Amino acid sequence: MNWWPMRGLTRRFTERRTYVSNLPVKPLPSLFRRSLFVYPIDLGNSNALNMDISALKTPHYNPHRVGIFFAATPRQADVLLLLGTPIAPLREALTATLHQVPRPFAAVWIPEEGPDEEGIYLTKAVEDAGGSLIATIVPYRGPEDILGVLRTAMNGRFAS
Amino acid sequence: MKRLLGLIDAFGSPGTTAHRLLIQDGFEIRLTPAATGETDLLLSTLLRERNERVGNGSATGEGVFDFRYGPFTGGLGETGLLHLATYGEKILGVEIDLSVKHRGIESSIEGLPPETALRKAEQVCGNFGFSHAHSLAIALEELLHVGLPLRERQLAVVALELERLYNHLHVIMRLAEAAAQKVLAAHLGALFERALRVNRAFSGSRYLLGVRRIGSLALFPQLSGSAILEELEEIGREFETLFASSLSSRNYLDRLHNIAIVPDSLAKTRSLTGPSLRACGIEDDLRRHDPLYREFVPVARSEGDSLARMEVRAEEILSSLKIIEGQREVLSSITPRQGSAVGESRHAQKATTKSENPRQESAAEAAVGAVEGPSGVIAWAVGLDSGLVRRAYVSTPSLFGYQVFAESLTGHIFTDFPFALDSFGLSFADAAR
Repeated sequence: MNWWPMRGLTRRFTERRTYVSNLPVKPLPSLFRRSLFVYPIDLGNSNALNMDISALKTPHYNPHRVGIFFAATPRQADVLLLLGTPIAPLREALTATLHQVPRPFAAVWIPEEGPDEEGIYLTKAVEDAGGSLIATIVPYRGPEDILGVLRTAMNGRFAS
Repeated sequence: MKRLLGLIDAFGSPGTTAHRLLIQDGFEIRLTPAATGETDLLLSTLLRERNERVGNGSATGEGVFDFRYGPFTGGLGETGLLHLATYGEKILGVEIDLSVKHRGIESSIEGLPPETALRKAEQVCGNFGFSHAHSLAIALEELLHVGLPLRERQLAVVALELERLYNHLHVIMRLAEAAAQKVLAAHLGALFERALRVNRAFSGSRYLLGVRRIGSLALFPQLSGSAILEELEEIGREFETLFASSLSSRNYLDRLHNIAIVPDSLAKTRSLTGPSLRACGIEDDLRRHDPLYREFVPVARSEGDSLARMEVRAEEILSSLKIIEGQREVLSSITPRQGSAVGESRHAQKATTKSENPRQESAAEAAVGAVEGPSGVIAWAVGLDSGLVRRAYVSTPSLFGYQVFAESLTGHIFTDFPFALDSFGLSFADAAR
């Protein structure tokens, strides 16, 4: 019989590391320094990025300990994670979703194949809805990059 | 699966036997004698019967309305759009709209050189990426008369099983989350992340992307083979303990038992493949035909419900670990290497004009490659013209899986929805291409 609380604690799943990004990240307003609600939006990626969002919620990363939570709906989100290069069938739904997010809000874009002209469309779409595209994660290596960008934005340090 | 189709013409020339299958618009495919007759017919069925409409029709009646679920809904884990016909609690009909995630990958592959086509094929579904690339590569290698050396074939087996491992862990984790088994889900999540890190340690990519090349594998191991095997053994021991413990939770089992039952007759007529098919008692698995899978016995259950699908995946996790262990000798030979498979794949994507490495083409117009992916058979049919892809056509397990899901969900209530959907292990990206 396993006593699961002790089993989990003794495993020490959570990584002991500080997540910081070297990418250019616009700082978030001080309102978001201590906690952040994040909502991921699949813009048409291959599903690998969606899987990495699942991985981000696992004990290795344990985002709650650094004040990052996942919102259940866009209406509860502070930051949108835009996953993949936006495809045409989803543009209308994306515009509607962006206008549901309470202001102020931010967006972080992870293009799956490298940024291209879709970045211009996304920046405009986010700004038209009253938000700000604070970072584009390229190159993308894994969930540690997402945590690094979010923590850098929360701490208000602008890394160039 | 054994169905004779009117479009199959058998013809022969001295010393060869071949089937010709007309897919669409004059795209002819000749299935070579490399596979057994049973596999020929399976592939014919999967390629021919790929249809674009998924669902069992919308129901009508007093108070029945269309509950539109998606596209950006948190519950699916991916962008997708379902139309559920309901009067409030019971689901009377399911229609799935795949157009919201259609990216036109097959048409984007046309005109590309083979190496770049492989990178595009991975994008059909990233978490089945290696299976897609491997399946397309098999077909392209046949057309180009390029063989994959034995060592690379053995490493490809390892990669396929690693892909199966993390996908199955993810499915069982999702089911545990849906059943509010938070401790189990957290521990499974930890194993899922460890499996992804093993992928990176083995190949340089968390999702084994950029690995499969024409005639070779591009591995950038970050750990030695023996360290990787040690980590996999540890994952196996942990998972066995977790799985055994989960079976003692009546609450958890009760949420899965008798949910989305798929009779074997439905599975056969809808061309279902993979763990969902084997959960119906049909022990079909393409790996049985591969000599590198020595003494392979498919895992099967007979109940056809979500619990059976979960149990099949759990046992396949342990089976995959044994298969990888069986390749210990070749794995032990790999040593850490600098670089990144994904980085190299981006370089390959830039070569979009002439083929960088022209090879002699086969006289055959097209070829078919197929593998047993984590959620079922992935089959690519491809034709070449002057070294570039002329036409590409893929049959994915999710397309058939969603049809079976739609039919098996009808009659259930909304609370059963996640247990039905997640147990099939499907992807909208995979179905919509």
